[in-house]
Amino acid sequence: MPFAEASPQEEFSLAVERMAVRALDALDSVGGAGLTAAPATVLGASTADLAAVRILGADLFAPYLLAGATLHSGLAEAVAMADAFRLFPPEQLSTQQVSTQQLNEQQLNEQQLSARQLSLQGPSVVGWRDWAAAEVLSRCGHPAVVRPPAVVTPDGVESRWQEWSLWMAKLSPLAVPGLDSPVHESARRGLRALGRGTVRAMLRRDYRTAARIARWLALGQSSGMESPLRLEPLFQHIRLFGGPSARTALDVRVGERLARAVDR
Amino acid sequence: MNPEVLRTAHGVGSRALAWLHDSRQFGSLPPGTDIEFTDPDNCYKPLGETALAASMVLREGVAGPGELSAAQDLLDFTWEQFRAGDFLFERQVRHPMMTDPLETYAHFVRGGHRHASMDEVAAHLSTLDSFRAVEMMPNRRLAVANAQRVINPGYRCDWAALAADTWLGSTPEPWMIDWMTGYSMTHAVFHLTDWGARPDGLPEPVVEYLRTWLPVWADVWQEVAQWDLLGELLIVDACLRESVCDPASWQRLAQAQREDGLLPRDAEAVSDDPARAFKDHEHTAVVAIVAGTVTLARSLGSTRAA
Repeated sequence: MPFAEASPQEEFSLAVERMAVRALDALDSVGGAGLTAAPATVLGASTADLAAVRILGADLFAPYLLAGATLHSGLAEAVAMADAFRLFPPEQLSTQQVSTQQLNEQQLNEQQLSARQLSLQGPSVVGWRDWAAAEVLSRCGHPAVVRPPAVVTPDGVESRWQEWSLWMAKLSPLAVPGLDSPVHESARRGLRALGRGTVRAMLRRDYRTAARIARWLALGQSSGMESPLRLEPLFQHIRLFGGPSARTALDVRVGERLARAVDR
Repeated sequence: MNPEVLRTAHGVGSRALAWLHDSRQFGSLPPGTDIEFTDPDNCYKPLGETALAASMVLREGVAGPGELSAAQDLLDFTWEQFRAGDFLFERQVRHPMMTDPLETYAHFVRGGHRHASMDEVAAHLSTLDSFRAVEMMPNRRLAVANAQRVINPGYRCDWAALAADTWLGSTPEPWMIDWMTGYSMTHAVFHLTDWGARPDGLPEPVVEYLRTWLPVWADVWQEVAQWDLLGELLIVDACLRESVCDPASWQRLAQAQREDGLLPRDAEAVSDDPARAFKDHEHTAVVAIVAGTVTLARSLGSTRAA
């Protein structure tokens, strides 16, 4: 591998970027008239890849959800996600599922690494992302039960728009068609706060965060709500100024696809 | 706005007024300054800004007796510097197309001083298409129109058209604003509302736009300790019918203010040289005085032009 000497953290980041590129490719191929399948490559060949699959979560399926394509258990993404869930089970997995897992010692260590990384984002963020990934995985025919976290959203959306919009940025993989939850409901109620968070991130040149929050605006717009910001120029600006990150590009592309139908 | 915030706002403005008053000699026009001075930013423009701050305290009348007296002192001091208006009149006559004498004069009119010849010239200029069409930035055009309105309440112009020409008037992408545009935006609001006296002077779409985005701009420039611009944004907040900014911003300004009342314009160290410190931070004192005054006045319901 080209990153044999990379630290585990670097290797991990590279894998996430690689997985985001894969999702971007799928956006191109799945979005066409024929709804053809994404490139038939094997996903999750390495542990780092499987960790990346878990990090990307529901975003891996965004191309299919955006295109309204049929989900099925044979999708490379679904197979990889099922493997990833086995290797890195969410804390909320049911007791029965956990007990049936055959984890060797190496896997356990990797699991702890991943859990530590994920916990940096806060338990409810991880919980909601796991819920979303498991929800889509289930629709593919791989049963995975993750209960929604008890913490739905921080209180006082209007007055604490900075903190809340940053929280919602971390939940951007949930901003796809077909998923609904109390988080989505709070986004629909808080479009102005999300707009403020987007503008704050833009002015702080934090384009990654801006793109992630703006996805929620795009999702609201796709369901007929009015976005406080014109999204087409916003996403184009991030495209041009936002740097090379594939994950940012994925947020931008998903946001553009969501907004496209009505943002004119 | 709760009493604690108002106390803080009043305190910041009051301490800034005391500092400006105590330091006023640093703002004198250099001996021998004539109407052809080359650097308006040296003393001429700051003197006009001091007159603005003083005129606001006097107009609103929400300050204590000591503050009103300091404001009157400052207004009289600056009026004296401009030879009771003769300096402004002579500069206007020498350069009829220049707008700064008329704009500066308006602050004295607001504070109660008049210069008969300047009034005549102002009335004449207001009838000239040429003076209305002087080449300048759109927010500056609003400044001239508001000055005309202060000098002559019967002055008429197309405020909606003037507003529409500004950056703010086009309610543009709020994420494109930069530091300089931030100042242009605040001044568009100041002049359209005559510094908070006419909140209805803002077009309704602009009000909605500010209600949504002003808190973001205040947050961003507060984070980088741009106290001068934050103060201007709080004036804008006070020019709206209802405050939308985080009241905690006032606490931040109070924390940044020094014991002697100097409010640093930003996070850079303040010079030990009092003359240099005055020059660097005089504008921020003006901003703090106006912000404190208009915020208090709006809460007490004392302002509002007919």
